[in-house]
Formats: sequence, structure tokens, C-alpha cells
Amino acid sequence: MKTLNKVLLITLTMTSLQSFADSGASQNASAASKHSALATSHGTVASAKLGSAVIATPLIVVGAIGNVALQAGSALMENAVAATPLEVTDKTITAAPSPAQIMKVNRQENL
Amino acid sequence: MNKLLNILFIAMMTITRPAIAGSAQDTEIQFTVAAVEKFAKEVEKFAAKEGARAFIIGRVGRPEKELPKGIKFTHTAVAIYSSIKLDSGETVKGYAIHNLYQKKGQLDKSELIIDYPVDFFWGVNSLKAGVIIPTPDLQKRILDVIASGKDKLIHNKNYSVIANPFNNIFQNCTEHTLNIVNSGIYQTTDIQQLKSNTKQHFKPQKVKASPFKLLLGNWFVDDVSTKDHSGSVYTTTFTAIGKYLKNNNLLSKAVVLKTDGSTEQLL
Repeated sequence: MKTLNKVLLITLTMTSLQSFADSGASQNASAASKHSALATSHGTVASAKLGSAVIATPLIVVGAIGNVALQAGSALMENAVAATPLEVTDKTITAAPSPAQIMKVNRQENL
Repeated sequence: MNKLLNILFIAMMTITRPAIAGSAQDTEIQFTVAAVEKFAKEVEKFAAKEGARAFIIGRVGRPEKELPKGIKFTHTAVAIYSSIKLDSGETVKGYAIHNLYQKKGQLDKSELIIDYPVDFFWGVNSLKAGVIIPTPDLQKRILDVIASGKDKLIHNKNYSVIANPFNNIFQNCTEHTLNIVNSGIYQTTDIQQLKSNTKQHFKPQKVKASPFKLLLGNWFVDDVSTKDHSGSVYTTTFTAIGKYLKNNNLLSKAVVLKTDGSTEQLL
């Protein structure tokens, strides 16, 4: 009986370990399924309301760079020190799916 | 009897392991696509209205009632106001989110990934966002760290969900965010210097869990380790970063945005 109690205790404790790791705390969503869901949600106007990002370049206000030497092309300068609210697109932007994710989707569709 | 115990233990591990480490189910959308899109855009517009060029963003990736005491958000990252080139050739403005994510299939390792608000909030359990806006001076410094690629120099790929912020043995998403903030403040990527400064000025959150539970996590869960701790377990949290900035007069705003458009103070 003592052994059985130990087993039950360990089982219960291990199940509760989900409180650490089952959070999806730092896990990335599946881009391929997301693109598909977004496109379906938008229907025929998808291309007008959705955008797949190729690259994002930080916008730095002129005069705000300080002594940091930025790599060429790593940031864009902007003359908009007092411009608030900042301009934000109405489009829904998503990260482009990786080649592996695209190929996975294609394989599934071909089956 | 010991043999029986071992067999039962292995069987138990086989049953519980996928539930602990699974990733796909964690990122399944919990709300309608339209609801997530709308909320993500509201968060972006809130930050834009505040003129935030760099802010710290948090999400709730699991049922709030299951969150350990003192922890309100499960994932933290840095959002940067950016020019975003689309595959259509068009260029738009919005926020790009710079994340440390666990690697799929290798949860004790991480990688740096840029995504966007709708990606960030896709699999959340609550349409609730944590937004910490640093003072404009600190925003500029954070932006400089990201724009110059220095965030990559202070990334440690070895992941533990309860990483100790006072050393560089493991790193989680929130500690990486703290490293970026401190790299901006102290103008260095010297990790030993950053950890020394962190130890002197940052107050992490104590993880309230039984030692037995932590021990089992250490043994059997890839992304849980106590090897970088001695004694009680303390880790970086979204709220702890907010308090850190507030205590050092580096905070402009710290709020929680809800899906009904309302906000509440984080601190």
C-alpha cells in the first residue's frame, strides 16, 4: 500500500507539473495554419486586408541614435519626433511562413 | 515491488509527457480569428496613440486560474515601431515583436523570432495584453539595441522556464527582454556586467512551488531546470520588469489592455 501511495503521489505531482511547462509560454504559433485561417476569415477581400511580412526595419527618429553605430540598412531614419499617434496600418500583418511550413501544407493538400 | 514501481513510473511518464511538452495544442486559436485580429490591432493602436516606439508586451498563454501566484503573463517580448515590407511589395508601418521562442521539438533550446501582433496573440487563453511603455529615453536605447542586432549577442539558447535572472546558465523570454532593457540602460552587451547589475538592482519573482515538484520538473521536463538556482527559485516576470522600471523612474505607463477596450493599471 505504501508503494501504491508513492505511485499516486508522483502521478499527481507530475500531472501538476503542467503549471510550469504547459503554458505555451514561449512557443511560436504555426504560421501555415494561421495564414490559412486568416485568409478564410477575410474571404475574397483577403489580399486587401492581410499582409505577409518580408522584413521589418525599426524606425528611428532623427537625432535619437546617440553613439550607437548602426549597421547599414538596419534602421530607417524618420523626421517625426512629435508625431503622435504614430501611424499604424489597418492591415493585419503576419510573419511569413517558413519554407518547411509551406511544404508541409503543400504535402497535406496533395494527399 | 521495486520493479513494479519502475514499470508504473515509466508508464506514467509516457502518459503525461506529451501533455507537458506538446506545442501544437498550445498555439491553437482559442477565439474567433476576427476577435484575435481586432484585439491585436487595438493593442497596436493603443501603443501608437501613446507614441511608443519601443514597448514591452505580455500575453496570457494559459488559463489565468492556473497561473502560479504572482505571475500574470506567460510570455514577454519587445515590440518595436517599424517599417514593414510586405510580400506584395507594399511597405506599411506597425509594430514588429522581437521574441525569444522555444524551439519546436527541442524545448530546452530557444531562438529569436520576429512576429507581429496577430501572431503574438494567436493562441492566447485570454484576450488580455500587458503593455509596459518605458520613458522615451529608454525607448530609444532599447530601439538601438534591437536595430544594431545587439539583442543577438545577449541571447543564451539554453532555455528554462524558471531561468534565474542573476546568472546566464539558462534564459527564458522574460529574462531575454530584461537583458535587452539592461543592455540599453548600461550600454553594454557584456553579459557578466549585465548580470552583476541585475543582481544589484532587479527584484525577481519568487516561484511558489513545492521543492518536490521542482525536483521532479528538474528530472523529467526538458524546459524546467533548477540547476541555475541555489535555495529558493526566483525568475523574471513581466510585472517584475514593470516594477524595476518604475522604481528607477524609467516607466511611462504600465497597463493591462482588455478585449472590451478597457485598461487597468498593472502596478
